[in-house]
Formats: sequence, structure tokens, C-alpha cells
Amino acid sequence: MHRLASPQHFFLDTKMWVVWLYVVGIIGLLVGSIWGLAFVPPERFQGDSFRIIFVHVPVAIFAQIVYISLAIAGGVHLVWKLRMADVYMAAATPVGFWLTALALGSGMMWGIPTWGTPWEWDARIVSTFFLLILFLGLIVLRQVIPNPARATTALSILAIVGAINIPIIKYSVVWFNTLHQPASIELFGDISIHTIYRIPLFTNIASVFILTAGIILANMRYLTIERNASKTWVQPWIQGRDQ
Amino acid sequence: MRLWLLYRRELLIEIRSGVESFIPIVFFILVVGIFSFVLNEVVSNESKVLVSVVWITTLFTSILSLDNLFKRDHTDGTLAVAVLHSDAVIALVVAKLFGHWTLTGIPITILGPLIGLMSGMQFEHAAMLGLTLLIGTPTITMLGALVTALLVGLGRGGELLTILILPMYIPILLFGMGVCHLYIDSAPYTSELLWCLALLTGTITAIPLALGPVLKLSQDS
Repeated sequence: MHRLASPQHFFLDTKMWVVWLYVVGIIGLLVGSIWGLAFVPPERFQGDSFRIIFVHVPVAIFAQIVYISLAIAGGVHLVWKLRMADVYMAAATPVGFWLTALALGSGMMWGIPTWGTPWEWDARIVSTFFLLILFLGLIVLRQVIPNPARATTALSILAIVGAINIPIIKYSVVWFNTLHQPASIELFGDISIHTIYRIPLFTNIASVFILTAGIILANMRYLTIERNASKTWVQPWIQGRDQ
Repeated sequence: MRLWLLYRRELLIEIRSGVESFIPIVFFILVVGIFSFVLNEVVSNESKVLVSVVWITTLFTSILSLDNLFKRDHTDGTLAVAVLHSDAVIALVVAKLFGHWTLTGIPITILGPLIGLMSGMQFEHAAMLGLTLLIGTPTITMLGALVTALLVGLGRGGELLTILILPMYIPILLFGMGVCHLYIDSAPYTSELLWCLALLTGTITAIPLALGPVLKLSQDS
């Protein structure tokens, strides 16, 4: 693991990881989605409209997990000053932004047939919307602060302070009176989803995880090259791309 | 002793700069006034609406006032000297935070319930609004000061402040406003009130310590 904390070894070691993560993630996503969309029976109350769960739940879970990981990376940066922690934050922020946007978008699509409205100002939807704004703030703050050392520290602190919103999102369906249903999957508890739906759903959750990791890793490799462009070990890679 | 002098300095600078220092409070009264005027029917029948209006306006007022929190000390170089010693910067930061709270938090804590009483809110409900504001306004000052410190010395800080700060205020807004709503509904509110206090103690402990390094970094660039 220590080897990967150095940009050079990180870059040289992880090339095949990205390929594998992409291949496994895309295959898993195709299997899970086709299975979920075409082969499981319609749900008793919602009919076919429930099938968007196979997109909505995985992206919503990882939108929050990516944010938590940003806060952890921020803590790692503040304590140990690891350069790769900053690279991770820069690489994962846009991914988290798009996952949150997808969670909101798929939720709105699901809301039309089931709730009769794409948008309701309830605690879960609004807090997820604020998660989107948090990601946006992290992206904008990096562009605004010219000094990279200061930008990294500012982003770490903002990510950590913003993490107080994560419990609000997670427990909004429990604490407040929301239109959004409570969680169907608990990590240590009952799963109120029938087994035939569980298998494609878990396939998709795992695939979104693998694919997210792959995209973040690819971003990190790109940023590593960009930030170390003047180093000698990077030269063959840059020249190779130009030829 | 030094802390008291710094605190006095903050207040004196603010008060001697004239009307400018009272603009956030005038803004607060104006916005609550406009809301109550526009929503006249609803506000006089439903004290929950007025509670929400007061809470939201508190957030906006804090953004308006925080923009200037470190600006003067950054421009005249006080901050650059203070960050040279970690004790000095903590003393300055604590004095600034309390100064800011004295000039915006305390007036809002008094004015919010007062406006409520004037609009025909029951006395207990107004008192509960005052209590949550008393817990909420220092929390808001702390969180806001931290985000403001991240942007010290950047040209375009002001506009950015809005989108960076508002998401941070969501928990205290939800719980502070929630306590009032539950109290008006005669529902149990203890857990929400404890959450407010937890946010207050957490921010008041951690943020003055975090502000030192953040401000130091802002002087490096």
C-alpha cells in the first residue's frame, strides 16, 4: 500500500486495474440491468415503474459514500499530508456530483408514476439536492483558489464540515415526515425486498461500486500525469501520447 | 484580559464604523417585515410560518454580515501579524467570533421573538423561538466563520459564500426550526433540542481551533 502513495508507483501500477474495473463493472451493470428490466416479474403495487430501483438505489447509495470518502480523504490530507489524498479528492468530486445528479434525476422519473409529482419539498429530496450543491461548492472552490496547497486544505475542511449533512440525508426518512419511503435495505438488519428482486439489485449495487472505483481511478491517473508533467518518469508517457 | 481587550476592540471598530455595522440587523427586520406583510393572512393565523421566516432570514442575515468578518483585518494586515503566533490567532479569532455574535446573534435572538409577539404569537411559542435562536445563532456564526475564512483574500469570495455556506446551515436550520414546530404542535421536542445543543457544542469547540491554521494558510498565498 505504501508504494501506491507515491505518484510514480501509483501511475505505473494501476493501469490494468482500471481496465479490469471497467470490464467487470460494465458487464455487471449490463447483467443486473437487463435482468432487472426484462426478467423479474412486475411489482405488486407499482407494476413496471418500480424497475427504476435498479438504477436509483445504487447511484443514491454511492453518491453518499463518495461524499463520505471525500471527507475521509480530507482528514487524511490534513493529518498525513498525503499527496494522493488530494488527487483522490480532485478525481472523486465530479464523480460524486454526477452520481448525486443521477440519483435526483432517476428519483424524479420514479416520482412521476408513483407519487404523481417529480419533485416534492420533502427532507430526503431537499437534503440530496444540498448534497449536489456541496459537490458543486467543492468543484467551484478548487477553481477559485489559485494556490494549490491552500485549495487542498480548504477543500478538506469544507468536505469534513459538509459531512454533517450525510446523517441528515440518511436519517431524513426516519426523523422527518417524508414522502420518500424508509430504507428497504439495512446493512445489519432486515431487507424488505423479495429475493427475486434482491439478486439483480445487489448485482447493480456491486457494479456501480466497481465502475465508480474505475472512473475515479482513471481520473486519478490522469491527474497524476497532469500534476507531475515536469518529472522525468512522466516524459515517455507524454511523448507516447503525442506521437 | 487580552481576550477582553480584543473583544472590546472588535465591538468598538464595528460600532465606530457607523451605520454600516447595523445594516445586517436592519436587513433582518426588513426581510421578516416583508415576509409578514406579504404572507399577512398566513402569518397571523399560523405561528409556524413566522418561526420559519425568522429562521430563514437569520441564515441570510448571517451571510450578509459574514462577508466582512475578516475583510478589514486582512486588508490592514492585522491578520498577517496575528497568524505568526498560534496563541495570538486563537485569541483574535475567539474575540472576532464573539464580537460578531454580539452584534448580529444577540439582536436577532431578541428581535425574532419580539416580532413574533407583535404578530400575535403566543408568549411560550415566542420564548421557544428565542431559545432556539440563542442556541442556533452562535452555531451559525461558527460554521459561517469557518467557510468565510476559507475565502479570505479571494476576489470573488462574496458570491461563492452563499452556495458554500447554505448547505452547512441545513442541519441547524432543520433542528432549530423543528424544535419550534414540534413545540407549537405540543409534540415531544427533547431529542431535536439536544441535537441543536450537540451542534452548538461541537462547532464552538472545534471551529475556533480550526480557524487558526486556515487563516494562516490564507496569508501564505
